[in-house]
Amino acid sequence: MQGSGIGGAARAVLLLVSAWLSIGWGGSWEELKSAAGGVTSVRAEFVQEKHMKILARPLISSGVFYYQAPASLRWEYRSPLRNVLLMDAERTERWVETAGRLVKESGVNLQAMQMVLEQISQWLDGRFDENPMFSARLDPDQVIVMAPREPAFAKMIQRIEVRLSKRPGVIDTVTIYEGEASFTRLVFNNVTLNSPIDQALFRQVP
Amino acid sequence: MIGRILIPVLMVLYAACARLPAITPVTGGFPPDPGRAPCRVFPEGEWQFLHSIKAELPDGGSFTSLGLTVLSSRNRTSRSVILTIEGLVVFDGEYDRRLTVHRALPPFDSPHFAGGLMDDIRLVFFEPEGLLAIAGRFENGTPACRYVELDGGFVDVERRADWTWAVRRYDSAQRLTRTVTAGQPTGTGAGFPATIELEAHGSRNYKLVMTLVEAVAIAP
Repeated sequence: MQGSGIGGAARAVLLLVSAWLSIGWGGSWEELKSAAGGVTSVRAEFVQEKHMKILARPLISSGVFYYQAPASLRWEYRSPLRNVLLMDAERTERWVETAGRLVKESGVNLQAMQMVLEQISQWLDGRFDENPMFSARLDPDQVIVMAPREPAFAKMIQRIEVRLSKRPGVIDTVTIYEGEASFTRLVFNNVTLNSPIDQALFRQVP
Repeated sequence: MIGRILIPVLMVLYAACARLPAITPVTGGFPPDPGRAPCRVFPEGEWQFLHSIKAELPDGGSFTSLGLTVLSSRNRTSRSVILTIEGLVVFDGEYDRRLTVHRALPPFDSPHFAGGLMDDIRLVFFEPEGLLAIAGRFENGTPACRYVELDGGFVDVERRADWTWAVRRYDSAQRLTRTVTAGQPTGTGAGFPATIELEAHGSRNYKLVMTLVEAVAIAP
């Protein structure tokens, strides 16, 4: 029922977010590219709000993620449904809590994400304006607005807005618009850059 | 008048249903038991439910998504949204006497999928639309109701003593097509089932295991 295209799109967004969190800020693409070079790892907590017109209240989830250059990611939701996405250059896995324990999913084709991983080094270089999936606009109020280049992708995601923090290397929020009345907002806090990360976190689910 | 004619007809139909499990009518009806009417197992009022949904496929694969259901039992309307765990909406459909699909991304974009999903949602969350043909007990003593649907099919609702319940749908040839099994209620809130399993039988079989994440009452 769930295809690799949708799974790939969702995970592509996570990777973009991961990459954004590791860039240093400037007022132009060139300054972003220049400042982005020194970041090798990111750890951050997040709260995810899903807003839809029909909801009596937004759906809230929270978790933590780890990123290690060049291509290792652990995106972990801890509440309300615990699940972990593990990615590196060789594999992509999702583990979901079932009956009190984390179980590896077997029915989802995650091969599309390998292609996305190949692009992550490009994003880490701050080259958003060269991204093949999104066109990017850097607004003067520290907001990056990205729009899908492909019409098929635009059916899934209308645009993404990244609001930068005043602290270099940190972003405040990422808002993913599926339509004006349906969007997902990720709010980040406790962001740590360039601290050592146990590599087992990218390979194992405790 | 119509009812006087229809009820005996339904009873004859019921008697002819040799493959359906027998339900023995309760003489004089069930004793008063507020809140535990024999077949009132479905949510009443207006609710927003969020479930994690684990789909188990015939090839042995499985995947998990989120299912958001907004419903009104009074109006018999529902809005059903399927999201990836990351929050992307892959299907958004509404049923208000007719089906409206607001968003459907491949492979969720076939009319067959939309219609089947909304049928499953109505089976899980709403009292059957058909006529109540009999209210009684199965052979094992469990209270049960049988509804006859407009297409000639049947829906049995079974309420067990441990507060779990089950719904079984049969087609007009009395073949079992769906089984819904609700686990024990959550310990908090309005007492909705902590888990609901829906199994589709036949050549296109699948199984959905729904685990309740939250239930939010919608203010009128």
